[in-house]
Amino acid sequence: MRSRAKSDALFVRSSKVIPGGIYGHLSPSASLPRHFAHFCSKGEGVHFEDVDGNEWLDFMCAYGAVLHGYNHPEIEDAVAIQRKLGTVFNHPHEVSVELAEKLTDLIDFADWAVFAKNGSDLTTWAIRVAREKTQRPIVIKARGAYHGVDAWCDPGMGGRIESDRADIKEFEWNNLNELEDLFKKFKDQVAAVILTPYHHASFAPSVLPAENFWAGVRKLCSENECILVLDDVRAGWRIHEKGSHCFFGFEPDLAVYSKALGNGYAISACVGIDSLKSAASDVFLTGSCWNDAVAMRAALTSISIAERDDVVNSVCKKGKYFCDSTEAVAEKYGYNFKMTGPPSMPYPWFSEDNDLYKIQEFCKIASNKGLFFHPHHNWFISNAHDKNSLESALSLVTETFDEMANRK
Amino acid sequence: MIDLHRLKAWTIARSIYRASCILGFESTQKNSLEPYFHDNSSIAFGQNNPLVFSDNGLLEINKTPFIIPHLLCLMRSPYRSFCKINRLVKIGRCMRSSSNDVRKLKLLLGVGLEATITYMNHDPKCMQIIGGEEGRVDFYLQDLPTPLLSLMKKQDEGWQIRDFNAIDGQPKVKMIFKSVEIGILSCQNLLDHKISSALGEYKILGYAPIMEKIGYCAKLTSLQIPLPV
Repeated sequence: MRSRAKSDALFVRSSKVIPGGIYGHLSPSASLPRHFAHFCSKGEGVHFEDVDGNEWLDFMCAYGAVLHGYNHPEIEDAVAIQRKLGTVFNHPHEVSVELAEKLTDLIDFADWAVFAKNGSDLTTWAIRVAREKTQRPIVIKARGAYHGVDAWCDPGMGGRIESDRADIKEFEWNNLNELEDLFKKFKDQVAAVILTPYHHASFAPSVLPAENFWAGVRKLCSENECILVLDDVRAGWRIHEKGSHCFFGFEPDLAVYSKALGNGYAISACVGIDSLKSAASDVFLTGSCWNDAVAMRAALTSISIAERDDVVNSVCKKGKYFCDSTEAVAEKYGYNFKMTGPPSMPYPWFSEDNDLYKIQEFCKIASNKGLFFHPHHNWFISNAHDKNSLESALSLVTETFDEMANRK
Repeated sequence: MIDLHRLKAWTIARSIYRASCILGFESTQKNSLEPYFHDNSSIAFGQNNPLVFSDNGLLEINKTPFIIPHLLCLMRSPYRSFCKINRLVKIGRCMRSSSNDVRKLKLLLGVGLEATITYMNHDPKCMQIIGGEEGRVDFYLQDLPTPLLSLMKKQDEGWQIRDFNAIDGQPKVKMIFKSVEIGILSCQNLLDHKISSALGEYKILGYAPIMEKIGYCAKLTSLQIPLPV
C-alpha cells in the first residue's frame, strides 16, 4: 500500500469545511477510497503526483479534461501570454470571436457557437433552445446516460422535486422502437432528443450505436420536427477531430463540447445550425466568468495542436494498441476481459462481473503499482501517452493480472 | 399496498418485530410480535391473542416511555399480553442501552434496515429511488466471517431481511464496518457516509450504486421515523 498520511490529513481538514470532503465525481466514495489518493499536487504529461509524493501513471486524464497531457508547454505558453493581458473584462475579448470562428469552420453543421464553463451549463441551455424553437416541453434521453449536474438529468438523488423530470422521457440506448413509441405517445410535444455519440454510462460497459441507430434517430427527429442535441462533452476530440457525429455519420442540430476542448481549462461550447440561431439568442445565457479569455485561448491552442498533430488519430491508435495488448495479457491469465467503447476512451469490463468485484480488485492491485485505473468509469488516453509510458503501463498490467490470478 | 397514511405506524411495527427477531424472542411462535393490520386504525402484534396498539399510539413510541395497548386485548388474555409487553420493554431497554457490542449493532442495524426496506417497498419516493434494483446486500463487521444481516430482493417480491443460513453465493454488494463503534454510529445516522468511506471507517465492495440508493432511502426513512434515543 502506498503512503497516504498527507492525503488523509488533508481530507480530514477538507471535510470540516467542504461537504463530504470532496464532492461530485471526484468524491473518494465513487472510486477506490483507500487505494487512490484524495488530493493531487502536480502533473506533467501522463504522470501526476499526489500530496504524499506518490507518482501515478494516469489513464483518467482528469476524467477526460486533458487531451494533450498535463501542463502541456505549448498551451501553457499561450495561456501565460493571455493571462498577462487579462482574463475577464467588462466586454468579451477578441479571442471569443476567434474561437467561435474556429469551431464553426471546423464543425461541418455549425453556424454559430456560444461558450460557458461546464458541459452541464450548455446541455441544459441546449434543451432550452430546443424548447424555445419548438415551443414544446418534452425532452427525450437514453436511460442511464449522463448529461450533467442539473436536476433534469443528474445521477444523484438529493435536492430534486417531482416536476424536475416531469417532461424528461427515457428510452433504452439503441432501441429505436422505444424511441418511436415515445414520439407517438407524445406527438407534437417533443422538443429535443439529447444523446451522447455512444452510450458511456458509469458502472457498465460502453455500448456503441447499432448499425442504423443514428440514421434512425435523425430520421425520427426530422419527421417529428424535433431538435437533435449531441452531448459530445466527454467524447469530443477523442473520436473525430471535427466532432463525434462525423465518426458515426449523422448530423445533429446542436452539439455541446467541453472536457478536452480546453485541455484542463474550464470551458464548454455549444454549436448549432443557422435555423436555431434566433432561438439561441432568446434563451438567456451568461456567467460572470464565462467570457474567460484565458480558457478560450487554451481551447484555441488545444484545437490547433489537435489539428496540426492529428491528435484524434494518434490517441485512437495508442488506445487501440493499449486495449488490444491489455486484452491479450488478460487472456493469457484466463480472464475474459474486454475494453469496451472507443479505444481512445475504453471502459474495462470482465465478463460475468456485473457486480464489479473483479474490476475493483484489478484496479486496487494496479493502484498499488502506481497505475490510475478507475473501476467504474471509462478511462482516457491522452496524446502524452507514448511508447514508453504505454509499455510501462502494460508491464504493470501484466504484474497486476499475475497477482490477481495468484490470489484466486 | 399499504395505505400511505398508515406507513409510519406499520414501519414502526415492522421494526419492533425485527428487534424481537434479533433479540431471539421469535424463536417460537408463542408470544410473537409479528405485526398484522388489526383494523383501519390499529396494528396487532401476534396472530393469536394479539397485543393491539392504535396507529397513533405507535407513532408516539419514540416520545413516551410507555404506550397503552387496547384494553380489550389485555382483558381477553392478560398473561400473554403481559409477556408481550415485557418483550417490548426489553426491546426498548436494549435500544436505549449505552452498550457498544455486536448485539447492539445488530439490533440497531436490523431495526434501521427493516424500517428502510418497509419504505423501499411502499413509499412512492423510495420505490422510485430504488427502482428495479434487486439482489442481495450483506452487512459485515470487519473480521467476522458471516454477515450481521442481509437484505434481499428477488423479482416480484419486496425487499426483505434474510438469515445468512438461507442464502448462498456472492452478494451484489457488501458493506463492511471497521468496528462496532463505527457501525453503531452509522446506524444512529451520526456519520457522514462519504467522509467515513474515504477514511476507511467502512468499505463498500461490489455494485456500489445500489448501496447509495439504499443509503438515501435510509436517510429519507429516518427523517420520518427517527431512532428512539
